[in-house]
Amino acid sequence: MEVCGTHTHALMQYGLREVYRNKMKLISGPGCPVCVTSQSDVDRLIYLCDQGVRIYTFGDLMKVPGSFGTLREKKALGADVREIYNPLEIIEDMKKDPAEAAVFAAIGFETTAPLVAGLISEIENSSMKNLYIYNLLKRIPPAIETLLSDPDCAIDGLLCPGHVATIIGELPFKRLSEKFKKPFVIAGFTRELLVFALEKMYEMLVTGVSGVFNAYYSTVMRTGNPLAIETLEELFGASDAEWRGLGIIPNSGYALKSEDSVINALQIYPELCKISSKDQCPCGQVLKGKLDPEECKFFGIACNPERPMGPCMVSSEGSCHAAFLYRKEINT
Amino acid sequence: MDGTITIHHNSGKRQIELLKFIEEHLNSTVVSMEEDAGVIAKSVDVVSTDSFTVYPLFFPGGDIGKLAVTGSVNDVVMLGAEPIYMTLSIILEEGFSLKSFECIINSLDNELRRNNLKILCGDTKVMNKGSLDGLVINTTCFGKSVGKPLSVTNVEPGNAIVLTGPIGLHGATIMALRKGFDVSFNSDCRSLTPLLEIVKAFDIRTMRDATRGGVAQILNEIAASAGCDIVINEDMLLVPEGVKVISEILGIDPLYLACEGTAAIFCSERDTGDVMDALNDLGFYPSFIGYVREKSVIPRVMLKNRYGVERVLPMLVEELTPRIC
Repeated sequence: MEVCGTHTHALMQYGLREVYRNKMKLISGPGCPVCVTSQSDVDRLIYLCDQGVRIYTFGDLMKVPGSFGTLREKKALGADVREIYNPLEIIEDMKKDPAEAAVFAAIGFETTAPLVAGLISEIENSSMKNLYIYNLLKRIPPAIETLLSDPDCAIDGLLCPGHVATIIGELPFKRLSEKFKKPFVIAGFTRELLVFALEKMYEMLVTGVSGVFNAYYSTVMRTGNPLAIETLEELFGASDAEWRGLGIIPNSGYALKSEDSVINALQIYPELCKISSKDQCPCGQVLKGKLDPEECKFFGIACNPERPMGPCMVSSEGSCHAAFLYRKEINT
Repeated sequence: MDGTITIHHNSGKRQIELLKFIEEHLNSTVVSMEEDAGVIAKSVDVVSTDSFTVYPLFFPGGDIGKLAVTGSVNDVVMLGAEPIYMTLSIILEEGFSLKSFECIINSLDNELRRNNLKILCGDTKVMNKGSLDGLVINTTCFGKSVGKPLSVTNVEPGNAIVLTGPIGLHGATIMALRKGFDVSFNSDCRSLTPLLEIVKAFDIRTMRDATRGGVAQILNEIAASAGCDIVINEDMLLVPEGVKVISEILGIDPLYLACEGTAAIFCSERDTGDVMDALNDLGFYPSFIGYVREKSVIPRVMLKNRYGVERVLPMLVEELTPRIC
């Protein structure tokens, strides 16, 4: 299984899934931050929109259907929803065009968390009192642990996310590899680096070796990025987090250390906790690698990038989106 | 005139001042501003209209003024016609800087001269602050075919597809500017009028400039109109290093990035080499990217990669959005 959404995309784009079909079956995991965002969270953001709060979000989240429409539809009807690429843009934008209240939907994994940490420091250093964080940051290793602990789990080896490993290093993966006695390969993103990682994975599977092999050593240090780790530890503690399809995973969230913090959207809008919705599509099964995108009864027909039913079809890192984009036949 | 456009430029003395201002800057390229309408004195048989908005208005390699000329000119050239006249309609936001406006009109004028093109008629409107982002330009270009007008209906299985240059430069420039990246490359914004030499000399079936939606979009449009599959070779695409880097950072496929100076030429297979030579002589950087395949009920564009794996290259469904991590 490749955990990372960008890997899923790259493997399909380069046709590597096809090339390795006879050697290994590559399945996609829960490594797309948009895909694992629960329906409740989307509904809460839409609720905030309806209250006249300005929402800052990464582009793909705008297209995820909640129980009653998407953030993009809200925007078209006049709600103040703004797409950003770098969280630090928000400070500039708020200075240029102030809002009464604004919430940043902070989705992302270890890779995005340091940027959000940067934003939090900026907010704390500035006199800004009306920008809040709806914190949906998640940690990858606990999700991998949950997947591999499933008694029905059919995953033989894991292609570890290169960007996440750049931040947290090899060690968290090493612990998991030892616990589950399976081969883990940290992979880069170019065609050549992916081939290198897949060759190594195949070799480890055939020879029955477990452990972590770093096939992205040009970028991933054993100990990760100490500065990023330190910043994250300073600002965040571990908390339980809700993952679409996987449910609540203990310690998989990045809780703001000061829970009563003035920037925590949940403190400012406590009614958000009352909004709870059920995920309506089979994306959860896809995220666990139990259902191939093409096996989903909605794939391509009822659910496609034009009219996505679930987040896996929305996000450019989602496995259904990638499977649809890079399909060999058009009439599926 | 004062330093900014105001709502008073919509009528009376101020409007005349604004029109005079434009006319002065377009001096050698205006047919007449005296009448309510222009008179078409030369024979024309092709026309195309387009409205232009771009953010930011100024970018490396061009600005909205240049783009407003090249955009409509290229649409006419793609049908194998020489641009003769252009109409110019400008909608301005109240408060727009006159200095910026002057730069835009000057660059519009430069591009008109480059194409030996005359403004036939024009109009201005000023709208309240906040009702548009700076300015919007509409141009309509009239042209005269240099031979039989090109048409997508002439495309048939076996035709070769030649791209006239690198892909993604305009889209990557704009994306990079919007996201605050400092880049060393420019938009490819240019008039494609020199391609008319190729149209005169060879068996060209159709041409299409790869603007919005990029190469992926135009190939899908042509495949659908011609009712044929198309196959292109990924390794033959010219993707500048800078475009590759920006695309990787933002998680965007260069095949979907807009070009404003690169077109796909569909020609008969036997002329491919000569077309490539002629393009080289004209200063283009052509690449022979693929073929039109057999007729198909569900026409597809297939992208073949270096491992020989083929996949569907679909049309873009949504606007490009950068990835998260």
